[in-house]
Parts: sequence; C-alpha cells; structure tokens
Amino acid sequence: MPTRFMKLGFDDRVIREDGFYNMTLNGKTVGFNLDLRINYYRGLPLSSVHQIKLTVDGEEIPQDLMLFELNGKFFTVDQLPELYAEYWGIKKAAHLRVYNGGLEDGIHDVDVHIEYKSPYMSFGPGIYGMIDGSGKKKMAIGKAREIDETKY
Amino acid sequence: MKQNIDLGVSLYGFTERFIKEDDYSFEQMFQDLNKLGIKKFELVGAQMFQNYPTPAESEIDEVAALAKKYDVQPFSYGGYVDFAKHHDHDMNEREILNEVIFDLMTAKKLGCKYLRTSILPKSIYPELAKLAQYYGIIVGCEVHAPERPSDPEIQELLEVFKELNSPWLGFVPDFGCFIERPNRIHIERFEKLGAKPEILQFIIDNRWNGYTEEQMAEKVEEMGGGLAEKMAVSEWFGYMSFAPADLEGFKTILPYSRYFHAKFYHIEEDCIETTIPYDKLLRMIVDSGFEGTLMIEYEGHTFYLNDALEQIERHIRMEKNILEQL
Repeated sequence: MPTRFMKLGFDDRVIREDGFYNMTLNGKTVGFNLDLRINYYRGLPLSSVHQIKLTVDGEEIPQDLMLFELNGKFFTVDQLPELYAEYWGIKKAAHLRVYNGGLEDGIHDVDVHIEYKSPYMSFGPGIYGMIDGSGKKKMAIGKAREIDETKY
Repeated sequence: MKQNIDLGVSLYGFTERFIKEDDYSFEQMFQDLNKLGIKKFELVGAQMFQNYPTPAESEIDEVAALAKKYDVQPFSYGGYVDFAKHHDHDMNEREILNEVIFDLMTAKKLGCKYLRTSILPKSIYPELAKLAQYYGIIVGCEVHAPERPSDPEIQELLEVFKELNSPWLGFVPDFGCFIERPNRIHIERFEKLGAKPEILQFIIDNRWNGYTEEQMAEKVEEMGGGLAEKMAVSEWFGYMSFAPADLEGFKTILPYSRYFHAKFYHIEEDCIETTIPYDKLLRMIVDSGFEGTLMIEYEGHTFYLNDALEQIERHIRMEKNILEQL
C-alpha cells in the first residue's frame, strides 16, 4: 500500500499573510494576490501540480479567474501539467493572481487545496506518491498594490 | 580516529531550518559546518537549488563563493531522477540517462568528486560508466530503506558492477537500511498524533510476523486504530522500516561502496546510537580497507525538531568514539 497522500508538517508556509493583498490596476481594485509555497522537503517541476482549488470565505474561486506566476512567467492552472521544465524551488513563492475584483478589507478565511505528485517516488508504472500541499488560514488582506509595481 | 576515514555532513540535515526560515540558506549552513568543524559536504540539488535539474549559474557561483569564504568543500552532489515529470508518460531509459547527465554537469561545476543517484535501470550502467569517466565524477547508487543490501534488486546491481568493474560506479549504502528498532522520538510522535501506545507496540512486535503492509493496516483498524496508527504502519513498512540489520548483505556490497550515508534520526546526550548498529557497521568498513568519507545525514527533521546542530555534534562524537577504538 503506497502512501497515497503524504502531508508534511510545513503547511504553515503554504499561504502567509505577507503574500496576501489586493491588486489595483490604474488605481482600481481588480483582484487579489496569494503567494503559494510548497509543503514538501524539496522543490518540484511545475508539472507535478495536479490540482489547485481555492476557497475564500467559503466560496470557491473559478479557475478561469486565476493566473499562476513563477520565475517571471504567467500560466493558467490548466497549463501547469505540461511545464516539466519550469521548476518551483522550495524557497520560491509562486504568485496566484485572482482577478475577482478584489476582497474587502479585513480578515478572510483562505483555504487552498493543492495536490502534487512526487515526481520521483515510484510505486510501479504510472503510479507515484502523492503529496497534499494544502494550506488554510484566517488572514487579513494586505494593503492594495498596483500590479505594475508589484516586485517579484 | 582511523587514518584515511573522514567525516562529511550532508546539508540535507539542515532541512528544518532551510524550509522554515526564509533567511537560512547556504551562508548559514556553511557557518554551521564551521561550528561542527566539518569541511566536506553533500548538496541535494532538488532541494537546495531553486532551479533543477539545471541550476542557474548564479546559484552555482553563490555556492562556490561561499564555500571558499567558509573554507568548506562540495564533496558529493545528491541527484534525483524525476521520472514522472512528464504528464503523459514515465521516462524511458534514454530520458533517465539524460537526467543523470544533467546532474553530472552540475556535480562537475560544483567541483564534487561524487554524484549520488537513485537505483537506475540496469541497462544504462555501461553507458553511465563511460559518461562518469568523461566527467571525472564517481557515480554512487544509493541503497536506501526499505531496500536492504541482500534484496535481489541490489544483488543484481552488484553483479552489474562486478561485470563492468568500473572505478566510476558503485554503491552509496545509507545506514537507514540498518535500523533495528524505532526510536523513542518516532514512537512519541505517533502518540502525539493520537496513536494508542498498545497499538504501536503491536505493530513493532509483529512487524516481522508475516503481516503484509495491507494486512497490518487492516489489523490496526480492527484494533481501533486511526490515521496516526496507519501512518505508523506506512512508515514502519516503508522508509523507516526496521529489522535485524542485514550485515551479511552489507558485506557483499562493501567492496563496491564509494562512500556512505551515515544516516541517523536521533541520539541522546550520552552520544550512544541505539537504533542503528554503528559499532558493527564501522568495524566492517574499516576491516574492508575502505578509505574515504562517511557522509553524515541527519534526518530528525522528519519529526520537525529544530536540533540539527546539536544532534550532528553528538553523532560526530559517537562516530569518533567508535573509530578511535577500532
């Protein structure tokens, strides 16, 4: 029985308040940013990401409102499985941009469900270890940042 | 201390701080090596580089500059083969070999003498021997728990190495293969997660009484065990497996071992290792005439303890005590 889902204890780093803020475009709030980090002991090729499901205050965010930014490049969530040569380092935050018009000031219940495959952990042809990379926190939304000025 | 045997430290041992603290990186790890009085280190690419399998030049340069500043030397490079990184297929042998070549390139740039790999398909070793020689890097295949040296897969690989008889290939036995019993910290961790002590004891007592992992998981459920007990089954039948140490098997692969992963999980203040028979293993290594490095690999971060420096210090004392008496 391979460990179908491992969950390591670094889940506190998956989402952090310092990476949670509204984004403005020409002064108008267009959405929010959520930094994501890996709950594992090493980095992963982006193609390891199997699922990202984001729920804020109990409401699931449609995937077509999201852009995933890493290494200065933007991807849709659907594109991730093909990105075997794009590496998500363990020290690196990916930036999930959510174009939903932004969130109200104050505390929000943020719940991100993320599944990865462990790309080296083989349990037979086509079968590999799975990692639960989820994170959940109540966080105050940070001061809005103009997205052109967002420093990555 | 025995002549011609020295100690290195794998930076992997610093995982807890490396992952949790934004500001803990190569500079801080090398400072820790200085505190330990250790010169040689192993670097695990997929963890420590933020680009893998092809690290950025700037990352290599940073390691080189800091290693010089702190007078420490990259000894071995820990590689992976992410065989499942393509969404539509598992890697074929050509693709696997390519991944190893990427690691050889990095090992060379770092100035490492050794590359550690996982166990690869047997048919690629003849070509790998040539490539290792071109790069001037010795490739060691790690023998890691739950594998044991006597396992057929390892013995078949031994035959391949005997046949090729290449100084550029060999094993890196990881002493985690020789864990004889779970340590106190590990049992306590499952208890903290809610496991019942009597169920944990049952798993330990019956690990080798004919149960498969599935059967043990079922049995544990029958006994009223929950997720914590099931995790214990999964780990104790998996990478934290334990059994009477396979010393006979170890003897067979010793002549082809290039360096060793001196793995450990926890050691008390008295500096006596209670779960892995280091005294026997080190004696066998010395008796075999081995000259080289024992690469210390602390893995207590499995229990999320932030105690690498103290633990590695104790472990070094333990190894030195044994080696001095041999």
